[in-house]
Amino acid sequence: MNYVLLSGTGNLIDSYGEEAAARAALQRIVDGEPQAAEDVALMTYDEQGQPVGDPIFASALSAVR
Amino acid sequence: MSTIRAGRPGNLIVNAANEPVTAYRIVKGVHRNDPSMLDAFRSNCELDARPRGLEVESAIIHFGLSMYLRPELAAGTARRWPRIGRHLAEVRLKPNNGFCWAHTAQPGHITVWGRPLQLFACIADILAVGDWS
Repeated sequence: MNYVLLSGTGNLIDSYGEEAAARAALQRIVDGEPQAAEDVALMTYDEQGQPVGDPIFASALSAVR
Repeated sequence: MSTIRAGRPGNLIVNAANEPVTAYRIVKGVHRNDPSMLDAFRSNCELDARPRGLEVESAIIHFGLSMYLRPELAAGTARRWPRIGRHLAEVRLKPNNGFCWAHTAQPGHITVWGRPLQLFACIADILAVGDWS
């Protein structure tokens, strides 16, 4: 799986091979820039590049803390 | 550790578009004359968005545009996050415009570098996301 941070412009911010690392990176971005909470999404893609599941936003990360 | 396919940014393989390349950019506009269309071809840096994540350590990512090599891959992303856009611009990157691209992130995703007006001029079609499964 590929865990990719996208901005609301549709542009790549970062990508990871591990979900935990991607979630931590998303949290770090929002910790430093709270207004980014709805502007940065964590998307998951399979090995063919097809998206899997729904995007995750920082608000969801906070909810499961 | 964050990853960019083909290695860390320092090892990124950047291709000059010496041959035509067709790619798909998620856009909000419905037709090419939509006022938002040119901005859809501006990088986060050009849009004055502060760098985040890998954009901080690698300006080349901050200067790039995300596109997809197959329309169904772009459509899948747009369907899951419609805020990005509900249409796809089919962009035919033509040689002699200074366009460059690299495989980044997941398979089928590329980062493209080019001047917005020249990218805009390469729009071949605007497709509705719903046209692709």
